[in-house]
Amino acid sequence: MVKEFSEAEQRELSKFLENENAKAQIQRSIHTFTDLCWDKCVGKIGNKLDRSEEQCLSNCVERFLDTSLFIVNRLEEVKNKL
Amino acid sequence: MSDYSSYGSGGDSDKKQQVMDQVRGDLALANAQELINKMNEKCFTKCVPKPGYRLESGEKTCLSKCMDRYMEAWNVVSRTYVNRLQEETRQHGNALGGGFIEKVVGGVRTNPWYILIRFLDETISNLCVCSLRA
Repeated sequence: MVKEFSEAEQRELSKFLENENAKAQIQRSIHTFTDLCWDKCVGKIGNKLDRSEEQCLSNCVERFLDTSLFIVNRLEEVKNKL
Repeated sequence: MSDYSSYGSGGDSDKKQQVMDQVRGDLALANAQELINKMNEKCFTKCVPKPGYRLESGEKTCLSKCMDRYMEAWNVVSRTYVNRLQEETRQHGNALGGGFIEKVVGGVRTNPWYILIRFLDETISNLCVCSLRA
């Protein structure tokens, strides 16, 4: 790949890969969250997700992200005390 | 993908476009496979609690509904997550450079059916666990 593309093209390709990689990461997270929150929130299979199931799914994602931020902040605190 | 529309004439540009198409195709396929695998696992658990000699028609009805519900759940989750990402970006500034999240997020929030449908005609059989694990 090094010789095949001009410098400008290489720059463009690496930007492209960076974007696609970020997109793929977000998609992986969506699969993980859906997996996790489906187990927590969806009960009997009906003709539509009901209002409370939808609310639960949405809360589940938000609280998971809060938890993740909390852990990072807490570790940061611990590190600063050392 | 207006950012990458500057290709066109030369052979090198075609080569570049090929690489991009290949990458996009591979990622889209991986995404579809992941969706199908999860759906398979979740709906099997919900709808076939005691596997018998064959799938009963009631189980099949449940599986169809469950697939639709899984897609809905996927949509709710992706909407919530993407909104949160955008919110965090607005609040804390974007460490990754302006517009990055917007650009990335644009291609993510698609209806999950579209993730699958582009593969339905050619490779759907390759997506089945039966052939993946063979």
